[in-house]
Amino acid sequence: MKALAVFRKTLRETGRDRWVVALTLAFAPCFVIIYFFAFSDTMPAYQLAVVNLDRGAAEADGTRLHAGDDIVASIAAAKRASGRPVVEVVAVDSAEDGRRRLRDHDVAALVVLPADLSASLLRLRVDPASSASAAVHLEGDLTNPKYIIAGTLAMAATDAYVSEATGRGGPLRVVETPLGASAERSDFDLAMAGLFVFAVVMLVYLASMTVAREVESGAMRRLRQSRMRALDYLVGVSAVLVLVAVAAVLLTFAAAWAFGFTSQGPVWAAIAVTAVTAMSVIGIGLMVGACTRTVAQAFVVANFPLGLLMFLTGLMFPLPPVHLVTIAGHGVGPFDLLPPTHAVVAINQICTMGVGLGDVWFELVALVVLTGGYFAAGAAVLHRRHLRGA
Amino acid sequence: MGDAMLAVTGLVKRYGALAAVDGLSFAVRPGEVFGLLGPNGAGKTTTIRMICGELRRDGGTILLHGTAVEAGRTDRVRVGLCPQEIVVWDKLTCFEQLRFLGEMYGLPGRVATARGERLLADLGLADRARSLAGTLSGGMRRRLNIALALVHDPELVVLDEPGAGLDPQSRVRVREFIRSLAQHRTVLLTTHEMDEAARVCDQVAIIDRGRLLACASPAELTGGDDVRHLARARAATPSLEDVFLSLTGRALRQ
Repeated sequence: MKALAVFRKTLRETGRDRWVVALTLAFAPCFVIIYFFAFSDTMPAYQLAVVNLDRGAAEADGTRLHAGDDIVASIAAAKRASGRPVVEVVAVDSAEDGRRRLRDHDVAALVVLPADLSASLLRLRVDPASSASAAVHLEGDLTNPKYIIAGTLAMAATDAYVSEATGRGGPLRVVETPLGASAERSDFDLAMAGLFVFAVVMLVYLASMTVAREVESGAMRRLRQSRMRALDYLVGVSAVLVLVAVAAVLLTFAAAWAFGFTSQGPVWAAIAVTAVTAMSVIGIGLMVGACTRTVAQAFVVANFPLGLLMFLTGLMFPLPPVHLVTIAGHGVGPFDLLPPTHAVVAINQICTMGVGLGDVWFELVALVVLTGGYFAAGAAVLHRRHLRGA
Repeated sequence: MGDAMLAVTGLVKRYGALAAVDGLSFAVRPGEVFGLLGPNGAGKTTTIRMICGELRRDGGTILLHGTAVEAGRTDRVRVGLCPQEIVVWDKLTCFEQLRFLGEMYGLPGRVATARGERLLADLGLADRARSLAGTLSGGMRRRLNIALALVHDPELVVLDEPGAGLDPQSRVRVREFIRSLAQHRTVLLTTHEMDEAARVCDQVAIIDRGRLLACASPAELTGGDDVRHLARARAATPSLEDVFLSLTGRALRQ
């Protein structure tokens, strides 16, 4: 009953702290909107600058071959399963102009088609033994992953055209099979898994400030004087925070759906994963709140775990795998010590691959174990510093 | 001390080499308003915290109705502490926080509700029962602070500077309330207001540097042999403040 009273009291206080609650609830949905406009509703078409210097060449029947134009058309014609173009060709007048666009990140790669391209292809078509060759130049920033993708796609399209134009079929035929529903997923869709977890990670502020407010006002001392047990306080406060977390996740899901997101797997499973993650974030918030003396201090200190949770878990952007050991066939590294890492992977699998909870058992086990650890640590620190004797 | 509500004997609390409380002894009878007076750093708050079971003592005994007080929850609920600083929940209404704290002391909701309403009426806050504590004036918040210490109907009420920052009207209201409390409970209060202590306390203990300097009724203190020289010097009956300054000196404390 005391836990229920703590729950009611915390719910009232939290509900009356309208700005903090509104920001906690609205932050992730706002990012959904930003992501929607940033990434549109499709995979981005990689921008490819093309300098087409090809002069063309006359075929035997008098018609002219414009291989440069054909290659540009071939590149531009490459489509995703959704029918959207993969590469957007930007015609530029000179290589120098293309390089300027590369430096400005207006384009991901630059392709220069040589003046003798058509002539060389014609010679090869007429005489397959000919040593004719045309140098197609590809330029770009090798540190930019988009360059790798745009360049590869451009060269693949060029290669396919050349094989067809010269009648020389390649020795290999590559058949592409998309994993799960990945062919249908947009960058916007892929970013959503992180945002669902982001919605609960924001709870670190609310959790730490809830505790710090009791400490700063001296109310914790009053409560310690009463018959309240530490468990009553933990259960009552945590229940309110979980409620806020679920509301934040539901709002984020609703916002994502409104902007075209669809989950391939069961949504309830994704919500369950975020609810468990919320408990770990609450544990971290309890730790921060217990170790600080004022709400302002808690707010500042909470930025540190928030930064770790946001940038070292794959929540905002994918991280390179750092594996130190292997457990049950899964590589485990330092980032795996943060619960949201597993939550992001699990939700991605559920939403993108359409799998169920049973298929992400490793992530779930890791998430539950870590969440238990973080929550227990938060409860222990709070108990040691403020609820001892309660 | 046999029939004392609160009996403190040889109480000691040390912080390293510093003895914050150094062999302090006094007794508070049931139904008495007992004032603990002393300059800043005299050891009043430390003593109160040990009586409330918040702090472990290094020596001596504290008996509450004959039962030893230890730093533990069982004893604490027999004491109602009104801390010097105002400790209220700003985002709860006056009534909500009284009911909540009542429930935390294990009172059934109905009892906590009735007691909360009665306390708000007694302290002149009935018309602000549904107001958030954060919207109250300083005086109202201090009265609410006192109400929160009483919600579980403790045997011993400890009021640490209950009149600080109150306007004259509120101070009179609180003084009358403290006197009314003594009809059913025992009150231990600290204050720097000597006039207030003289008006409200049955017994006063003056302490400094953790030691007891005097313990008697205000009338005994101001009319005793020890302060005759003050009366001669001033050609009038010395006040409690005169006695206090005579015992503790005029040097400023930290």
